[in-house]
Amino acid sequence: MYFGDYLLKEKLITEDQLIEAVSLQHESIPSFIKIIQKNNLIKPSDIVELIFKSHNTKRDLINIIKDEKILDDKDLELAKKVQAEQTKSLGECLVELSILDLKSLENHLSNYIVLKNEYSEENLDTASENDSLEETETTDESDSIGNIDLEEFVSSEEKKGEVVESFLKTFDDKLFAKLNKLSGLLKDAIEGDGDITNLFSTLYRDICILKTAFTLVESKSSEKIVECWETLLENMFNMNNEQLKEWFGSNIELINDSINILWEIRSNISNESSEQSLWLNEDWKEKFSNNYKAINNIPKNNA
Amino acid sequence: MKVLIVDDSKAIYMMVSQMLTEANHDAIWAEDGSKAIEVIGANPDIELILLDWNMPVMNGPEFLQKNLDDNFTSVPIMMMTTENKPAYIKEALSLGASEYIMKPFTSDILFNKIDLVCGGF
Repeated sequence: MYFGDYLLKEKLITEDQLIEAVSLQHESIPSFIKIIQKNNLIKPSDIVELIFKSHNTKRDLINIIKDEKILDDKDLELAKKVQAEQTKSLGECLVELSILDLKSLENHLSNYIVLKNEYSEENLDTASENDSLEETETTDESDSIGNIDLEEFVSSEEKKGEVVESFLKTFDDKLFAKLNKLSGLLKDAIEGDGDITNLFSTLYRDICILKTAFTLVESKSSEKIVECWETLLENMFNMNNEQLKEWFGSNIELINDSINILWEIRSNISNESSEQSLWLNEDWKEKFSNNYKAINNIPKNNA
Repeated sequence: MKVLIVDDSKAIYMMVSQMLTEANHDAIWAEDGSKAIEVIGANPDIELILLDWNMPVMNGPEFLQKNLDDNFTSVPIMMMTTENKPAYIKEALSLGASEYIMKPFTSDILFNKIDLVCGGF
């Protein structure tokens, strides 16, 4: 029995509260890719390849890493351990959400451990106390797109030189110029009789490149924006040229704004190896937040 | 600009070649990926490769994979395909293709894409 089950059974929390806490816990799971990158377990270029392979084959990253022996068992265990350590426990989440205070959490936890000892065939060792708090597997790669909370978007750490270099090389002046050119071509196609389907596939491709680039430098804000566009565009592959024309007619300016925002973040990372100082600027926060909210308001099931 | 068209369909080669020559580009042909490797070896002045997805002997993805392994060309490669699905675009991207164009296409879109790939802006 998990600690969450116990709390429910004893009516110490409601189902809704448990769901809320487990969701928060799930959101706290650090990205496995970021862990292996941060701990230098894999080269940035191999990470890029791994991300694509996972996308293309729809296979879980951990399974690819295991099957193809990209990490040896020792490193894989280390990465999993780091991920587990950095994931919030259910108890922490319950306290953070003010569902329980610290004192009552400690009391409930003690009672739970006693109960578990009584009924479990196995002895509960001290290490399993932490395990028992975990309600979710800690190998999920997905990052949620929740309600906008600017704090969660800021990546504060300075990134390592090699990673930044790889990022800057991927999202370079040429790609930025290409995106601007593409946006111009899309505008022309909207106004005229252009082949938007073919331009749209290029935009999708470039969004995939941006996603890889920003994942490398752990730029949460950029990743969120790029993921939103990726999801929207993936839902548009069944649209015909006329439908695409209408869609881009409504959203092309928003795409332009996002491209410029991403470039500003890129410039900041280029100058300071971090995007942190951008977030000290209130105008920037407002600009980012308006763009992000507007993208999230675009209906996702367009096709 | 010399462009290598890799496609098992001669009709596609003729059509694309006409678009290119009308715009004062040179076009040469290889009917599959394996032949393309030979043509590339004999033509170091090729500046762009238009690569079909489905071909006998060595298809487009196999050609890209071979290039990832052996690095026989650093020329931009544009995939030409009738498939318009995110998975195909991602696969082409992960194998090193620089651009993706869906058939059938007009000369306008071809030159727009060439412009995007070759950075003539």
